[in-house]
Amino acid sequence: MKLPKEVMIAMSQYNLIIIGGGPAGMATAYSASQSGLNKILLIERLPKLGGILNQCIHEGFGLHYFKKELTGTEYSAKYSALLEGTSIEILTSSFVTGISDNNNVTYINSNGISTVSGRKIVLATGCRERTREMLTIPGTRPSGIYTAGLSQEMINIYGQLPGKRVVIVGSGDIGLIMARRLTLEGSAVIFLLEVRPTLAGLIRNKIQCLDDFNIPLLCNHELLEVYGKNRVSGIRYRDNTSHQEHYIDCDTLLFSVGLIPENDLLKATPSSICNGIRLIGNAEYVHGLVDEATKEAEKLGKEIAKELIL
Amino acid sequence: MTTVICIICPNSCECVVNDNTVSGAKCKRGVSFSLQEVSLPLRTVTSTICCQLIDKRLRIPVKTKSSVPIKDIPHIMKRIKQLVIYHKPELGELIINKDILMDTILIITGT
Repeated sequence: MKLPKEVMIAMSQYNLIIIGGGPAGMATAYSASQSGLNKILLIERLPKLGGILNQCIHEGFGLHYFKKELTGTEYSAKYSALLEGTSIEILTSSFVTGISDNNNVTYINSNGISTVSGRKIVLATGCRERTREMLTIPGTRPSGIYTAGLSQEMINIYGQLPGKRVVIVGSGDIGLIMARRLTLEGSAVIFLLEVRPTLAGLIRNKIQCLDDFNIPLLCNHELLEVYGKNRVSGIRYRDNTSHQEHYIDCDTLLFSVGLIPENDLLKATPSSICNGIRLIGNAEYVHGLVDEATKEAEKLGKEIAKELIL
Repeated sequence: MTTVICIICPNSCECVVNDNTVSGAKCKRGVSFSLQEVSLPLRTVTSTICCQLIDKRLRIPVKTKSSVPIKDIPHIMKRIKQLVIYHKPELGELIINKDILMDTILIITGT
């Protein structure tokens, strides 16, 4: 089909297009803008900037960057306020579907399908959580199995409790945070199973999330099988030190077993332009602290601005 | 002599409290944290409250204005759960409600 001339001319040109409006995306856009770059576009799929910070209502953010103990939601609000008054164009509720030749970025939103072009493209799309399927745990496939971050979204954004008797598999930070959150909301967290000999998350999170509420962490323990027809009814697990197997009743299983950078967009992107796309934040590698992701992204934004302005 | 791990920052200093002296803390925040921790451990509680507007109902994140003793957390959570606000709050707004929250003051941490 031949497009009418007006439509072809209408495609917007940007110096920098950033995909993902979480902490890394916001920081890349902000520092590039502060370094004098104009025509910056930030594309976010949710209605609001902030990414995963918006479901992190707990403290532990901003101690390095803002020199203040903040919750994730406060960090998100503080940083997105920096973008106000800059010339950065922000598209929310817009989902990028592909990157093609000539650095064209296609996205969909309530206005339909649009394509824009950027001299530089940055992917700040964060991570996905590893799921039960990725661990190949035998057993049935009932409801009541969630990733820790999903349960966080259910409770903190939608006010829905995922279950009453919960076992958490893995001891990553989100799992620890959710053990406390579920306990505060009235669920019984029976224990956390960690297959490795030591805690996966930060020690400070174990103290304030598990020890404060007497939630046991069982290291060297492995989940063997999931039971339940419609809903999870229990699990079988093994103590890998004594090699004894046990069964326990529960109605919910949360998996906190690591994160994987989300770069699905690159799979369908022509390799000729893949090399020019920069990854930042958790899309590059998993960060322990948001402050670090922010600092690295600000450095990248500055670099790109310098490159393009020269 | 008691050993506490400081939870103020990710450094996680192992602090030894001996009477009223603290060793092992890399900064002064660790000293005051450790002294408090051995007498009465305090924590900031974070949760969400119900915000009922004309056309929709939202969950709004909050935290306690000051940190509270760990043993009081279940009571405070019970009160926070009962609370409903009927306006869209501002970031940093204080929520004071003597009837439901008693002396606890909440800060809005997101909108």
